[in-house]
Amino acid sequence: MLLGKKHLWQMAAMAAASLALGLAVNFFSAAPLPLLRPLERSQGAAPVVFGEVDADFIEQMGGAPGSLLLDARAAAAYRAGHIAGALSLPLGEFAARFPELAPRLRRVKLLFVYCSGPSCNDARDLAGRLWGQGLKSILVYTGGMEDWTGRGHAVEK
Amino acid sequence: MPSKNKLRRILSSAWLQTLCRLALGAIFIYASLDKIAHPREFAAIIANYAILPDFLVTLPALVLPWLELFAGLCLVSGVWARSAALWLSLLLLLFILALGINALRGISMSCGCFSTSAADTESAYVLILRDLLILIPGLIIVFFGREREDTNQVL
Repeated sequence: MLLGKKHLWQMAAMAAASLALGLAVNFFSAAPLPLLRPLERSQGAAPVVFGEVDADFIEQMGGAPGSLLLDARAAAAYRAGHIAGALSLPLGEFAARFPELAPRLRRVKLLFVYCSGPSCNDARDLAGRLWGQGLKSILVYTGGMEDWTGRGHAVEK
Repeated sequence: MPSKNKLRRILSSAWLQTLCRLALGAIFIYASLDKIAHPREFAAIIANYAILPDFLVTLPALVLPWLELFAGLCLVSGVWARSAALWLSLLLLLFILALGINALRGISMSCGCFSTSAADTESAYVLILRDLLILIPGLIIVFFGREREDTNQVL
């Protein structure tokens, strides 16, 4: 037999030891994490809170002169379809891509950022990175691609 | 088939098994340390994967790094090696699944693989490929490793 009861016991023992030690270390730590409760929103989130807009606002303002849409998702997701007129600035490639886009972004009066949907943090994180580079007037389209396509709006490839 | 037997002999040979044990064990011991030291940051990274509900992110953040450490120590020391290799292989499959889901959703997040730094951001496909590579020694140990007890019986 490939693996027997003995191995299941050993695996259970390793899991139990990890569980016990993990909980014990947390219990005695100076700043224990709350169990079975969400972390405070400040943990790991962008330090600045940005204004949020909905799809209607994007539709009215997204193409207006002086405004620009930024897609925070990975480049492959952008290529597969994005909001018309949006530029790709994947959060993961921020350091590499920002310098070439910077002059254009700095001319813009209003920046909209979005990612795949309400559950992703990339748009907010991207807004934080842009803020850190001195850009102002950044708004987050919280609904993202999921909301945009869900409402039947056009997608550009 | 003689060639099949030969492959089996190579895969279950003592030196390859030892090499796989040490490599896989060392990788996971190293990967566990920064996460054990920074559970709060690791929990935030797990939350960013946006797979688990928010109230469930702290438990894996506290327990997973220790499991990686224990299993890694088991592998390096040779005690319970196959059980440890199976655990780590299962974890790797889980990581591949989580990365794959977010690659398809187009979310790029920091990986939380070897450190809790936010700069630990790479293409999910590269990370999946890396996990698949690390999975190879794990599976070699699970499927071709010999137990210490078995060898005792032979002797």
